[in-house]
Amino acid sequence: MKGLFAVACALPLALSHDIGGPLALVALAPLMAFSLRFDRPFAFGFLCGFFEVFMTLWGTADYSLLIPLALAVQGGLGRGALAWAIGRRSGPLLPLTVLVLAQGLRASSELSLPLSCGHDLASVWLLAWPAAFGGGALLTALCGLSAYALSHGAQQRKQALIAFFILLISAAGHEILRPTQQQSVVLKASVIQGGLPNWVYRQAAIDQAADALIRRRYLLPAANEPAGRLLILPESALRETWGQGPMSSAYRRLHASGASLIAGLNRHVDGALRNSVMFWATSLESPSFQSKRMLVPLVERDFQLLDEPELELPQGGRVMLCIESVYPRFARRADARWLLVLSNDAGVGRSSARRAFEREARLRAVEMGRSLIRAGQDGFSYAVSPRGELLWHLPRYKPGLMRIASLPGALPSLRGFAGDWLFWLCWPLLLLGLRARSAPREPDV
Amino acid sequence: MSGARQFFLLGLGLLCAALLLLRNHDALRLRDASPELRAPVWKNGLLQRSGLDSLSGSEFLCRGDSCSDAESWPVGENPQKWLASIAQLGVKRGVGERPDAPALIYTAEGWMILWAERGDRLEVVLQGRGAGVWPRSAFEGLYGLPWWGPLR
Repeated sequence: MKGLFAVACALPLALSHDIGGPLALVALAPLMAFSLRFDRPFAFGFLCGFFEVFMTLWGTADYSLLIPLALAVQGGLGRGALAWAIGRRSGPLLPLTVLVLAQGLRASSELSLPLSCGHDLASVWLLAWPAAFGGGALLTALCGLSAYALSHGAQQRKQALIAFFILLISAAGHEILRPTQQQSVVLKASVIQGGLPNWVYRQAAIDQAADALIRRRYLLPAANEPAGRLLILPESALRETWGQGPMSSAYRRLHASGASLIAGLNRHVDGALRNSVMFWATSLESPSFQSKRMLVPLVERDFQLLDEPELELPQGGRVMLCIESVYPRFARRADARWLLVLSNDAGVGRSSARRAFEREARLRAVEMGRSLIRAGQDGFSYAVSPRGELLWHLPRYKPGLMRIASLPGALPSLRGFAGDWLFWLCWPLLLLGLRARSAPREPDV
Repeated sequence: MSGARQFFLLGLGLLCAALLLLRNHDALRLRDASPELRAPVWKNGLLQRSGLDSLSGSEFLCRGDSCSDAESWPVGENPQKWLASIAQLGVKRGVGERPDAPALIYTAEGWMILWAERGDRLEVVLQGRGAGVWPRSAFEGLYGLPWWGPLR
């Protein structure tokens, strides 16, 4: 019976990760409510977290079932700790700190992925603004407090609501005191989205029609763009290794015609394959590269990281390659004027996982207070303002071209300046929470 | 816990499950890339797009001006003459049990071209079945078979 209830509690969480938005504010409430009732709340929370993450990430099983399973175990440990903290009945401080710390660890550690109700709020920009103050950790805390208030009695509800409004008012104060927005970033960029499913790439080497379609979807629109523009192609838009092949020739022709080019591609260096971003400015003879960090060992076993400096894009931009955008620390360049994410979401079909990953890019924009362009192979490609508001976007799963003349200037934020301060603050608060006295338990189910 | 709360939670879970299912039931289904390029389907263990089932070895490997006179696949167990007829020059009998892609392999079912060996799949052209993608696990079945390479 406990397992059935754990799955029932996991479903609103998984749905929240899928659709995002305000459901995140209440999705933790069933887990919290039942953690108060069950004997061995850790085991109950573990089951709930396991199913929550497994259901959300099953779309990645196409790469390997080990990925959703390993991440589900991590999710289970996080939710198990939360349920244990709720079961102690010592007030909202302990569960809140456990929730934020468990989430923060999942966002900061490689081999893990940050799935969080708080991060789900980023899909509605009007709900994500507190992240400029305290990042995803603050959004997570707000979701935890609202769910706590819903699932507890009058006294604890009052404590949780007071804490909720203190955090919200602090974030509002930060908005008022934020420095003024900097000058717009003039880019003249063209983002090309091929709108092709992943299978086309997987067999392009033996299927001439597939190969031709890939070239038609990327090289034709790129060649038709007026000279002097910055052409942005997503991760592995053309899946060839940089060097002597037709892709390289096509990119050279584009560069020779007067375009600057940013494209995700593979290249061989020192005998190893690197998943990389190439930037080739019109004025330069040869391109520069930035290789992707190896974050998903099973999927990226063919790739090796090369220790090389980060690329500086036109107008002071910085680039993140695909899943790097899911980890806040890779966006932490205070000197960046705008951010770029090149992605290949098509690798996980149209599942919850890609929707959760995509949302993280918007959260990075809000946290850092920078405009952000995201170029996806078959979407979701867009430009967002430093507040996370969608400025322009292309339809998902379809080919398209997005022309961007300029982006809103940077809007400095405390989260961008001070890093994940709320996460670090939660460590001493955790000690305080552990010292608080537990209330007597109610009879078990 | 009251029965009403239990039923409420189960009802809520069911509603969420229905919505999740609605949004994800065909999330990993392969979709058409364009009206002309239909999604591939599994045919006896080979993931194949319609139109590729009749592709022959000579059509795929031809590096000459024309290969219309060449056989579709090698006749017999020695492919050297056939390889020369489609301008695949410098191809030699492979050494060792493990074929190096791209390679021509002789199997019990007939000839096959192992064009690429990827981390998660094999890209192949099979005699009588055409071009498609095999699961990576199929590679084990190719050990010890006679092979020729490198193809270009």
